[in-house]
Amino acid sequence: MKDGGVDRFPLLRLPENVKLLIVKHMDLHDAFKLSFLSKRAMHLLQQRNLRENYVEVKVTSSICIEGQCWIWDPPTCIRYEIKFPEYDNRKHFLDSKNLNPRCQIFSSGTNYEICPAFKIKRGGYGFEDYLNHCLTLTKAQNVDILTFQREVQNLEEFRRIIPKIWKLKILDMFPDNSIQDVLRLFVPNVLQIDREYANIEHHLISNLDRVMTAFPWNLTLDNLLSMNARDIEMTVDQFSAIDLNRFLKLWMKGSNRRLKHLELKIRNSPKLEKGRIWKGIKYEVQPDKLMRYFRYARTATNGGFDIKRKDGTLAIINTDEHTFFNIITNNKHQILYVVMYVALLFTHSTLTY
Amino acid sequence: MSSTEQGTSSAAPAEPTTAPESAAAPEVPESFYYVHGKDKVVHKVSAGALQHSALIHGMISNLGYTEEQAKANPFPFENIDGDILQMVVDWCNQHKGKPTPPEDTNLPKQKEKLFDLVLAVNYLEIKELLTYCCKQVAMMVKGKSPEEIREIWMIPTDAEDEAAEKEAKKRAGKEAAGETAAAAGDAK
Repeated sequence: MKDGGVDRFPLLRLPENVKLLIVKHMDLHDAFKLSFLSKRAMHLLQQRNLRENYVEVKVTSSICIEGQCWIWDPPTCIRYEIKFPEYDNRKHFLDSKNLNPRCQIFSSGTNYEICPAFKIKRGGYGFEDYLNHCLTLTKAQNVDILTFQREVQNLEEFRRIIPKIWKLKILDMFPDNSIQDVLRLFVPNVLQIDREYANIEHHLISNLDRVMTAFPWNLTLDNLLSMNARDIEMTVDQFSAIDLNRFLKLWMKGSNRRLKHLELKIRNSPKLEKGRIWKGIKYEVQPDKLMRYFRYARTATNGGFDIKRKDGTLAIINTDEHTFFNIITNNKHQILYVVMYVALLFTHSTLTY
Repeated sequence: MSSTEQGTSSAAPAEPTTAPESAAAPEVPESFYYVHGKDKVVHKVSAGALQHSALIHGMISNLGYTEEQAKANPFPFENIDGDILQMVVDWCNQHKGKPTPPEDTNLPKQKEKLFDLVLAVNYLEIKELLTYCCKQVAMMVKGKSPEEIREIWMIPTDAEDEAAEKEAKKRAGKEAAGETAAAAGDAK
């Protein structure tokens, strides 16, 4: 077993039960490294029942696969980043094989540890293989988050490699000419857009779980009424008290039925007048010491103004000198059978940029 | 702790020179069994120490050997090297009737020895010792890079695995063809 003075241990010649026991006693970050050595090594790791928190693909100046996985016994979690420096140099990066990405692992269990970065040299492996490796290792079905900061070379091919995602993030530096293609090709459950995009309303009418925008969008009442997302967090340029009043009245009549949470950060709006918001709306003021918890928004709210939709759904509105609005709705029929709360939240803040 | 003697066969085991120590003088006389490895050196081990090994414990539990019968019929473990069996016997004697500590630092440092020890311990089904050994093996690669892990644990690349598999198939095919030809020759 000695070869050239190097003392070695032929792990794979051991019986299966022993190999598994050894892998079980390895630190998770060492086990993660082992998985890249060969198919047989990967097979060993797969039996350790790693679970994923998320797998993210980031397109910045390079391409990076990021993820977090954990095991119960002993309770350990690692976060890994696999960066492909070849991305900038190769025109046909997505078709390239024999890539040697650089990996960094951060582990947290009994101790938080940053392991030294290392290169992975897996013969025949391209970007798609590395991504599938990470997904297979943790039995993940899809990429959870896809983040674009820069344009990707060969977007169609990229879509083939990543057919399904949960969340799409478009960061502020992403080029304008590609944003439409990205939104056409990738249909997420959660959409986060941090940069200005004029045609955003076309993409907000789909049945998204959540929409988050960080640029000051000129939101109109019609836009808001046509949105079908459950959870909306938006920075908007203007939204008047009159529009807010109309929206509340229409919501009470049954519009935006899927909506559970709405947060609007209004940048350039005159102070919202309480009288205009509540004009013609029947509401009930609750004492501040009354606290209600809402599972959907994972938040508790004190007091507030209650309004009711015609189907019995209750909205609780909190306001703080007109700069903070918090509306939480609660379907009375649901309360009777399951303790489930839905939330509708308005925030008006006079933000200065 | 154990007694050994060189050059005896399983049919005629040598008389052990010393009896194994016990932690306290037992009220009931302890029964002893005999084992030998590839080198035929016979080790006298108490039934208490052998309880660590699920395999041997299972073998002896229903035998009801007398001292003479046990001496005459040592358990042969031809697949285990003598020095490895000695290590195992020593460990069993040291940990006889004691709770096993969380770490064991007395395991061999040489990887070759450790490999043979792991195989032996797994074969003899000594759960605690196997756990220690596996922990030690896992520690070999702690903080190492993938290529260092490959080197230490001799993990072949996929290409090497595929080549070895092809070679094994070719060899199996040749052997099968040879057997068929021999059978045909016999029939003629």
